[in-house]
Amino acid sequence: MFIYPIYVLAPLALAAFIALLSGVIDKKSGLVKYIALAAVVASFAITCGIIAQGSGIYELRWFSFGGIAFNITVSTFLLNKILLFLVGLIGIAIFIYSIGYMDEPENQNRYYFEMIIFTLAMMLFAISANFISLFIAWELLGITSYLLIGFWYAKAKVSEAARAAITTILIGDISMLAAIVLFFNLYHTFNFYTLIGMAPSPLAVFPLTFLLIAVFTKSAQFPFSNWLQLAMEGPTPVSAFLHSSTMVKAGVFILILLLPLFAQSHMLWVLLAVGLITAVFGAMNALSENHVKKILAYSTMEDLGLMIVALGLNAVYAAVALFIVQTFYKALLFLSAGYVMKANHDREDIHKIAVNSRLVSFSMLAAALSLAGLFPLSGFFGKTALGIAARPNILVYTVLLGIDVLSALYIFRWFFVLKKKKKESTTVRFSKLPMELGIGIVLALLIISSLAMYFAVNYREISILRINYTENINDIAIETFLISAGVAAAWLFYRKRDIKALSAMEKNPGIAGRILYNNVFIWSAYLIVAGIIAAAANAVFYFDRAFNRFTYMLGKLALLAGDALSAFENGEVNAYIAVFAAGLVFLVIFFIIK
Amino acid sequence: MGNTMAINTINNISYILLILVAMIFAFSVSFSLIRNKRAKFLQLAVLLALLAAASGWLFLANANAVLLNLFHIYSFSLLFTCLFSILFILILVLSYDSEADYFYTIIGIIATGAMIVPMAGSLITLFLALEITSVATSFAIMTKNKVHLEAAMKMFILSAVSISIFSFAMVLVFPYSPQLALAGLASNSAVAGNYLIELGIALFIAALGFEAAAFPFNLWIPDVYQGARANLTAMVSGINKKIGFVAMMLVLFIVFAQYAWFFSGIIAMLSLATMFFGNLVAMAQQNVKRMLAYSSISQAGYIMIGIAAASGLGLEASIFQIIAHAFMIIGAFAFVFWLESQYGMNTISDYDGLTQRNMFAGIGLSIIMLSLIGIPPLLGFYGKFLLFSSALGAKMAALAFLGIINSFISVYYYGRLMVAMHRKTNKKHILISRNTAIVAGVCIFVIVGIGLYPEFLMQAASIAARALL
Repeated sequence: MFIYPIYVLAPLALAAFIALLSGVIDKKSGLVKYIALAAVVASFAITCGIIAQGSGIYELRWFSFGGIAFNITVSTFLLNKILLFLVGLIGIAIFIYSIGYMDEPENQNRYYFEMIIFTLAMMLFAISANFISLFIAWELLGITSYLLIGFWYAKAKVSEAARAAITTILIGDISMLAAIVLFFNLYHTFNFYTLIGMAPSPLAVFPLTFLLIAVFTKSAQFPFSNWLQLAMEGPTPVSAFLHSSTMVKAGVFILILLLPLFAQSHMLWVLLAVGLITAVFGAMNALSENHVKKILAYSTMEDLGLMIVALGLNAVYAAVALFIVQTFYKALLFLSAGYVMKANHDREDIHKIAVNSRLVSFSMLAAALSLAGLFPLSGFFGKTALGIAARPNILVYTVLLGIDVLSALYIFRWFFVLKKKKKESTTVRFSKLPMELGIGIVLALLIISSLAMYFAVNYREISILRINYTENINDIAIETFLISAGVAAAWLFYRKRDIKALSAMEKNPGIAGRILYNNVFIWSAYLIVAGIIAAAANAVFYFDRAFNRFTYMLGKLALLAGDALSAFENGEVNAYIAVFAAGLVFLVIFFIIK
Repeated sequence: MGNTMAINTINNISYILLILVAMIFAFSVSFSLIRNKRAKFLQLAVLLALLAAASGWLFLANANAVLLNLFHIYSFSLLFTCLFSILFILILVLSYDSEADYFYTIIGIIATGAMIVPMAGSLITLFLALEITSVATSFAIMTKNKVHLEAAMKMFILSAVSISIFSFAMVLVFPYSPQLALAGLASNSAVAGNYLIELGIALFIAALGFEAAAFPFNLWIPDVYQGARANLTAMVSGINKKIGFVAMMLVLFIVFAQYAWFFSGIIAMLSLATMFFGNLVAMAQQNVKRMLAYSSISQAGYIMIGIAAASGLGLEASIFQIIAHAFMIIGAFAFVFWLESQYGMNTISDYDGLTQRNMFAGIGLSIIMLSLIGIPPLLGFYGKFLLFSSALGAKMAALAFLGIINSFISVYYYGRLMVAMHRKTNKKHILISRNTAIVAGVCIFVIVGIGLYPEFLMQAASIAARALL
């Protein structure tokens, strides 16, 4: 039996409908979480069926007018299959985890409805092959992420964060729409694969710029990166899902698909520059942050920056490798963070959280090692692929090595500080099993993906990772050495000191510490950028207020006109006939004059 | 050869529509002899359903048949016969519980007229069908209640004025083709610089503008909509007004096809005046029925954009919007009908907290309002989208721009009702009757379903538009 790729959305759509209905009918039934889980599992099963089939491109006619066909086009090429598979896999783990995490009975329907739509949007995104389906998925992702980030909207901080997210995302939406319109005007097609095959146009710079803005907002690149750390106010499974396989990956994914266009228009340097800036910012901010999830958010910024750098170097395989490995370790880190937060009265400061579960400790260690990029975990393969790709460009290579050291430092700071013995005992009761199950699944996936990467290196003729490791053994050795040095430094700084000395040091670091730690330069750079943005925002505000008053006056005028025109309607038939006759006379005169 | 045979057979089969219409007329006249209300309802509904099915099938089979120069059955008329049959069934279901015995006779006669209008092949047929519909409608509205009586009288008097102007317009074009067949007039009336013909066009626009609610011939609309029972308001706005548009299209695009450059400008001006009048006055309304009446005037203005564009795309857009608006307004008036007749809810403040009092009514009415505003992916969006792009295609950018401005204005009053409905309240729960729920449910299903997949309706509208041009 042939499975159309669009079928993968069917179980999710059905489950979303059920979740919506059950929210109307019965708010307290706990059934919805199992329905949601079943839907994701079913979608994953269909995904497996699709992966087993050959590749192809399929069109679903939606509507057309004036000779322009608006079709929902989907494809099942290798990249589509990879993303679909990742979303399904991580989705299952996260929906299992959610059963334990989301234990407040009254909000379950809302939570699962939004989560299912979010998953559906990402799956549609994963298989979309033209701008129409992409835009639908893009908008759905934006709106559901807004709803999920603002899930506990009653808290002021949360609604603030959600608003920051939607503002950035809307900038991206408008840019994406502009890019689509401009692309269509230039090339007369919505289809990605036709678009890539077209002869390059000198005007392509304009749509590509808009596309880049859209990508940067979605993938949290400089200067649109701030919403990502604010989004940590949302539920942890959402953060885990958002940061690992969905949403932020959407931007990178569309860049991977359309990279040839950027290469033709000589715009790769933009990707390189923005990616590097974001990665450095992310890594340095992660080092000075104390919020257990915000450290991970900054680390996501860094990861995405590295992917964009890989694309800027035109090393698609390195970007894809990073794309895959990042999914597993980031999901695992977030799920562990959610677990320890839940076990510690939802505390957020890493200095005040204690880790008691052995499984979680092990998961944290494995994920941290993978993030730092140490052999034999899968992160190693991503980092080295990027390093080898960057080798010819010595400046980029040096910066990347610095980022490697920094990332080893901050992630082991996170790990060591969390692992320290704390005074407070943890007496929180919650259903641990589903959360542990979710963490266990992702841990297993991390290990399996590491093995798979090893396979990919040894059989590179058939794999997407086209790197010769024996030729580049020196570079790999340097990289591994530096990362190990970073881990060792973290051990010295954070593991050896007790918690009091650590707090004292973090409050009053030395000069070297201050530069590295409080990232003064970055902060002042941020202040300058923020000052410029604030000035621009003020100008926009005054313009907006003036415009607002103008439209308000227009509205008043319209209401007055409405009142005046109502005088026509006095309820008398002879008046109506008089107006009728006047209209007729007007028509006749008009026609005769003409 | 076989192909021609098949086409001939289909064309012969299409006369069955006339038989069905005649049966509707005969049955409804004989209803005065029947006491059983259920039997009347079923007979009429089954006949209408047969008519809908037959015309739908013939539409797909691409039928094209002319009978005695009086009737012309082709894609355009079949689409509208199908639509009107479905709409009449909805109206019948909506009014089943509340109307008196003679109602079925009258509604059968109205249906007869309404079905004949799109099938008309000559001005005589058109004249008679319009006459039958509007007179019977004013009788349907009339009861012993003073308010209803007033509304009926207003409608009767003004429709008499309009029909007399229509007959005078017929006289003006009579010399060119004494048979008054639409197609014959078209070939004979194309005489350059003929004042009689031009005066005829003006009179036709005025007379049909009365039915179609074009400013300044629409002043009767709010009074009648407010005065009539809401199920009949649904019929007047959902069917009678659409008949006006169908007749206008037939006259303008068949008889005066050569004069398209001539009437396009005046229709554009009327369209603008209608939109602004409807929208601006709707903002000032407190009564929901009256607000919907003005909103339907403004929607008539939108539909006229497509006629002003006088192109294939414009006609397609107009036909699409006629169908879309029929379902939206009948859905809206279905709720209004029930809430008014059972709970006495009239003003916008009466609608406070409707969502809380009845989830289905609140959400359903909100969906209809959103569709009337033109929010994608609901049906109303595609209609407006097509209309504005047809105006742009006809180089009438100003018309499209002002139309969009009007869409903005309309957000105010639709939004005000929506805000009121979603307020918190402590009033009692409301029950919705099964019949109202069915009608509203069908309309909402159409609005959302075709909104998600508008392709086939766009295709149908485009086929009908091409058949007319």
